[in-house]
Amino acid sequence: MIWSLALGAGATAEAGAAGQEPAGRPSAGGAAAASPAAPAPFDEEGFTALYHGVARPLRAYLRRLTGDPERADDLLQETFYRFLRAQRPPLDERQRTTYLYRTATRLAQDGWRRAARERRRRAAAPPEPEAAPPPDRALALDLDRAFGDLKPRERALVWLACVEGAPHREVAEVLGLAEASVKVLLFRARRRLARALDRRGVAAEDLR
Amino acid sequence: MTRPADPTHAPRREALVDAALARLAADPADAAPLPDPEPIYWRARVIGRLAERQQAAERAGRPLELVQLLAALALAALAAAAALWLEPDLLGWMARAAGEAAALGGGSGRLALLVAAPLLLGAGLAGLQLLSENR
Repeated sequence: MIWSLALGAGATAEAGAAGQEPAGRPSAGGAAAASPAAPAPFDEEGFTALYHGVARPLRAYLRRLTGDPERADDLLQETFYRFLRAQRPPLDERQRTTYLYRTATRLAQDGWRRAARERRRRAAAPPEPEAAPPPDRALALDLDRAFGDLKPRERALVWLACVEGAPHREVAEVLGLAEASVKVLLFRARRRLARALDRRGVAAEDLR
Repeated sequence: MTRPADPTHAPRREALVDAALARLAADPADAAPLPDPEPIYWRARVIGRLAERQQAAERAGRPLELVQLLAALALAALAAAAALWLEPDLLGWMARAAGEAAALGGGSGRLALLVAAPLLLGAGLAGLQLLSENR
């Protein structure tokens, strides 16, 4: 629930002028725009604190987007690297969270076409015989696969809005959508997820 | 005859989706250790410094060889350290950093060579160490 945390912590910063760093956060990027070639104003300690505050939910998001834990780790590192290197005005905590999620989404999007090709290739290949997993693992696999049945944007939408608890405005900003369309798209994505779960025989009772 | 449960029936659908998402969000795999932030920070810092120096040198109309040579030497030192301690992650990050450093040089062949050389040295040392360990 990084969004609710970020919103809570960043409330005072948000009340201030846009682009102003909140007071009392010396590690934040107050001098980000000081030099165009030195956009990484965080000291190592400040960066590590930011990283440990956001990285875990961001990696979970990337994992759901990509379906690949190793790729999620790679994208996570690339996201923070780009955040450090980006030339942008100083951000408050909420803006930073949005910025990181937007960067991560764009990086993941780059791989979506490749992932789709890979899925098509796997679908065309004859299925390999695999041992039946234990029931709990089977349920986890079904959940993963049902979630993977969603379109990439739907996965992002559902995860951000329903798991991370991001407000629709932030979801729209991260995904490059109009705020007004988030509600409709979210409704459709949830309906599609329900159908995917049903197709795989997952019932609400199994999940209790 | 009973009708099968309709997955699109709103309350049932909402309950199913919420339960599934709650289960996905509690996946223990998400508790795996995070990648170390230190290499990310230092990669950004080194490349940032290099870009800064390069811009300053360009503004002053100075040749860039000294900056490039220093960067290459720093990378060489890191490559050697990474190879000696067999840190494949660090080598991977250095390879990326080297690529970016080469891109900063505007694709100059000489710079690419300067940057590639320490990496080759690092990879060679790592290979030698692996060979000696497997012998």
